[in-house]
Amino acid sequence: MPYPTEPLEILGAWVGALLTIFIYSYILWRENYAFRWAEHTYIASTFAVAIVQAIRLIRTNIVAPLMEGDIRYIVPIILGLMFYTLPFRRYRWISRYTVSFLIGIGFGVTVRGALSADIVKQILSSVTAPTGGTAMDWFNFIWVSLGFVFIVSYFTFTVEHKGWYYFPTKIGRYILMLGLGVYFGNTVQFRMAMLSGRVQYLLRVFKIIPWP
Amino acid sequence: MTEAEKSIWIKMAEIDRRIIYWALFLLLAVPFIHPLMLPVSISETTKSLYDFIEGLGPDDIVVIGIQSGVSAWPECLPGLVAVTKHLVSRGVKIIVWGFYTDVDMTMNAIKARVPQLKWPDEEVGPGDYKYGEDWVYVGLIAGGEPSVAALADDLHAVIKADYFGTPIDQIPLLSKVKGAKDIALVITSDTGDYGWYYVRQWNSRYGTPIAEVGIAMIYSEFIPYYRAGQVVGLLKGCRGGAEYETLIKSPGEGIQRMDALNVSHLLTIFFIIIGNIGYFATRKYRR
Amino acid sequence: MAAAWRRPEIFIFIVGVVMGISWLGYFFYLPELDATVKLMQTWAVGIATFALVLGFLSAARIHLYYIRRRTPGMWPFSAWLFFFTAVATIAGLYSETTGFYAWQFKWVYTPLGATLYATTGFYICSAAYRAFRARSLEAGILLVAGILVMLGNCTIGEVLWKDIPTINEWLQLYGQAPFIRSIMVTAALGLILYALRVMAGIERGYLGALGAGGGGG
Repeated sequence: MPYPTEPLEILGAWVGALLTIFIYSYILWRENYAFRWAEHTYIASTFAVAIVQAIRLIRTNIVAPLMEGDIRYIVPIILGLMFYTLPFRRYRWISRYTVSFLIGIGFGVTVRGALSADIVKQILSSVTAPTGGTAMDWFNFIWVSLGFVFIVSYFTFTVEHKGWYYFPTKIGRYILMLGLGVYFGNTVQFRMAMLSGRVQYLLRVFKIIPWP
Repeated sequence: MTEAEKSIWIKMAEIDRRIIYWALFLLLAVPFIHPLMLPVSISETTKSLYDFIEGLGPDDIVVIGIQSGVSAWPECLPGLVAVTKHLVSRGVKIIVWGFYTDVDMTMNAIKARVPQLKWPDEEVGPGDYKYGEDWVYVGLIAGGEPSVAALADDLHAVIKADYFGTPIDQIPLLSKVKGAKDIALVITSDTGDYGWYYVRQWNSRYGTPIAEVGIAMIYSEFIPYYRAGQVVGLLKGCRGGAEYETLIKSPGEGIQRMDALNVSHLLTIFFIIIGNIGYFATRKYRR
Repeated sequence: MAAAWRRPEIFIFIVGVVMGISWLGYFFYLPELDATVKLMQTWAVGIATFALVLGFLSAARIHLYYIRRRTPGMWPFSAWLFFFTAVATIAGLYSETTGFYAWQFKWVYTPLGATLYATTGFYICSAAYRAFRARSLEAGILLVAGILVMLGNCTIGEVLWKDIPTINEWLQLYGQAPFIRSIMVTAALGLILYALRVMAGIERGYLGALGAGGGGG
């Protein structure tokens, strides 16, 4: 979108920029009332968005089918309303019915998927050798498979890490550190990309760079 | 070593963090004012996704799941836009939904950058995507893994209407999709756990191919899935987006953002190096 | 009578039954079982919709407390929070695509969300400076790997050293794979064991004070 031309849109762009500067005043300077006001404004906006969208979704996805005659949709309405007793200590026990149901279904779907995707297929991939691969393919296969075993051995605390068991755990630590270093490098990319987006927004509002 | 020399090394090891913050904040502005636009090399995971989408056609239906908020646009939007442009160029049918409250903003941002996608009340020209037949926007879906599982098992039990409130049986594209078995590819854009949900509930149970177009940290976490063949391709945040833009020959915000990454990464490396120099120079005085 | 409905055994039973039906439906195909699992999943989606508002209810109690007590430095902001929430919600219920709700969604909610998320960019730079000291061989390996990946993720790395893309590619696809895979497998094993403990009633943390009497072991 090009630089806003409507007065309310221009006002909005500057309000957004001002709020951004208020938030960063805490980091670049120190805590202050402007930061606190911006923080509370964001929390209030988040609440409003959540309430409005929840009401819309409840209306279209639950109340509408119920009004059309599907009586089964009364259950999520009852359980959902029971959920709202959670913040009130005296009546919190009522919400435990909903929590229990959600825990049950949550674990139910997660565990059945995790068994295949996160355990069986990963172990199979670790023990499946490359077919007709180059020397580098074999090196990578051995690196990943043995590295996996060594790192898991490092995290096994029921066996003391001494004697013959010391060496795989030590190698596992080094491979673990290598992996953490790579993960950190990717984390830096993510965080810096986000921050650059904010700087870019400020430059656009202040008309230092064009708004595409 | 004199006291003055010692104090220089100590200062290197103990720079006030606000100096670091100001340096980062101000220097990040420079690449936007004077862009370099250096070429981007293509990684294996990006090429793998590109090749997979090249194999799709007008008979295939792809789901784009937006589980990254507006705050993650710098990382995720370039990749999402590039992949959507590629899907449109192949004539693939697209269903879009999301689990974050600001999914509408991201959808509008994609639509602004992929003008072939038309809303129901917009005029459809040659090469454009007609709403309801070529693409559909479902909007926000609430819930976590149970919702993703429910969508895979029976889409119609979860989705009653699209974003505009049109009942699902009146939308030609949605009425022919019953669940995960009818979907050729799920492209998920994540900052959190939803990618795993799709792998566990869609790929693990129904064999639906999954692609991750999310932040760089999720890229790391999905490498085992890629190695095991559960995920067909990955884009590493805005770097992956820049690579995909290069592949489809449509430079955009991903390539623009690489210059900002250059500055920020070099600055971080600079501070790490001088911190280590200061640390080693003053190590004997700490013992 | 009321105490009977609060017994932890009832909640543990609900968890066990729901979890058990979900697992049985995965491993054995029976049309009635499959339909039951799909129905429960649909109910979970519906309940999650109600849960969107739960955060507001919890925070509202705290902010009402600040206002009632006139907590210095807090209560005016809490009052502003309620005022803004009310105005934006009423505007949103009237129209989500026009008016004040749409305006604040675009120019308040969106920029502030992005800004708060992006503050971690500052912290990671200063944290890297402070914590990434090569105190030992392990720390040195972490440091070198991190720097190589950072150089590989930006385009200037290739200009400085032509082999950076190859090294970065190996580190991304193979270097970190044992670490990520081991975390994934051990976390999944832990999840399954925890689910079994919840099902057996050994873990009762989700019950809060109701489960405090018989938890653990």
